[in-house]
Amino acid sequence: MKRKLMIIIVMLLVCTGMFMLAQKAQKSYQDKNSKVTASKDNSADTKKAEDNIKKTETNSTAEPSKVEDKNQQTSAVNTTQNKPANTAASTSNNGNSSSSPQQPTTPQAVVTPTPAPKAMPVPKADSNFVIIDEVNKSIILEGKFDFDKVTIDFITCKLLKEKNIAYGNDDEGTSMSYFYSINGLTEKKAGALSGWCFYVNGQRPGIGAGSYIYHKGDVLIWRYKENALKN
Amino acid sequence: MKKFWIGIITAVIIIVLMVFSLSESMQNSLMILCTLGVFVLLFLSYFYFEKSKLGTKEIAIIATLSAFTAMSRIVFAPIPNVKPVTFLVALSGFVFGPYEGFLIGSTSAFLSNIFFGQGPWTPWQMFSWGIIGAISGLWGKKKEKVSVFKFSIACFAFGFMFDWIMNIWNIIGFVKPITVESVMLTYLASLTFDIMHGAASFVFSMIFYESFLQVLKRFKLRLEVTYK
Repeated sequence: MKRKLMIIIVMLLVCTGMFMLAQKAQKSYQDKNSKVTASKDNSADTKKAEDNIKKTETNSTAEPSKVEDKNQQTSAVNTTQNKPANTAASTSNNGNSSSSPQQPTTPQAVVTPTPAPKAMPVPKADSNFVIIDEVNKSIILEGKFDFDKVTIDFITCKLLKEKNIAYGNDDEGTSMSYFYSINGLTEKKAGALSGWCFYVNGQRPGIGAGSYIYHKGDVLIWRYKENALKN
Repeated sequence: MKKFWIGIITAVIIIVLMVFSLSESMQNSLMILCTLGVFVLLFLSYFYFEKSKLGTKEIAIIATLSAFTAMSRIVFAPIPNVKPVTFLVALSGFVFGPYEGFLIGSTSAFLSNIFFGQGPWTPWQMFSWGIIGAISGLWGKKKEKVSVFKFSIACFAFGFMFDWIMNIWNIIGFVKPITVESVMLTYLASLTFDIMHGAASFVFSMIFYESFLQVLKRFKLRLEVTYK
């Protein structure tokens, strides 16, 4: 009996030692990683700033980004090349063409008030907080706000309260925070896999809104997706 | 020979469920498939025990032990990754044999997930614990009794094995992109929890091995008694 107890205690000591070592290894890696990402963030910030300056120079009148413009141009070219047959297909494929200013006003383009799939809305280039409803293709909220070193959960709750937008979150303020509904759009409403996801700088962090720390210069986008499993 | 084929079919069912848990389009119907898979598994076990001399009595033992194991996991739920399931599955596999160990492991994973929540992890946990039961069952066939210390060390290793199999699911399902570095990092991130699981299994085995082994062995002996 005594021997057993000894073995248990020794084993527990060994395991705590291993536990500490493992934690140390994890922490040392985290420190290394955070340094790397910090330097990356800085360079990204400067790039973004440059981009913004360019955009304010060129995009003073037209708001959609350059890539969008290019898409529209190519679609316009397509429609002019094979005129009568493929216009309908191209409009349904690339809903932009009905609203694009470059397209020659052909009769076909006028005769498309049928609920053709709307284009995915593009947020303004300088806004750093956007809520997009990808199912109905509309922007619920966008704007530029100043936050630093707070959780995504904190930012979202504060802004939604300010703008009087209803939301559902049972674990607000904790690390378990999960938004199941924003502006009446509830999870699983547009299909079993639909729900809200957030993107920071275009990427989906692998952790929850209550754990992710927002840093200055990050662009936060909430998207209501039909299939939240897909990126 | 029949027993061999039933074992193969059991393994195939679990592996098919594991593959389904990874595909995106199957997510909606995964739960119903899992439940169906478990029912088929248990149904197959009736064919298996039809030939054995214990018959329905053994089914009763498996049901009781899996329920007990699932309950023991729920009791220790507040402490992260401390669960006597690994030890109990290994021990019952050790006493009753590989196929029984596999059944106890997989059904207790399924049963305890009724409480913790079913998900794409269910088939993987069923597989991991089933494999633990099967391995210790093979070990028990070779040796009648091992010392406490040996069995505890084995339980420690089983704890790590379970977590490392589950890590594979995590890597395939969530880690993008899959590189050597990201795989290593996943295993590094899980290391503290692996140690918790291993140490807990070790301590449980150290404390309970001898008394539990006696109880289960006696149960098995009593089942085999026949009157002429």
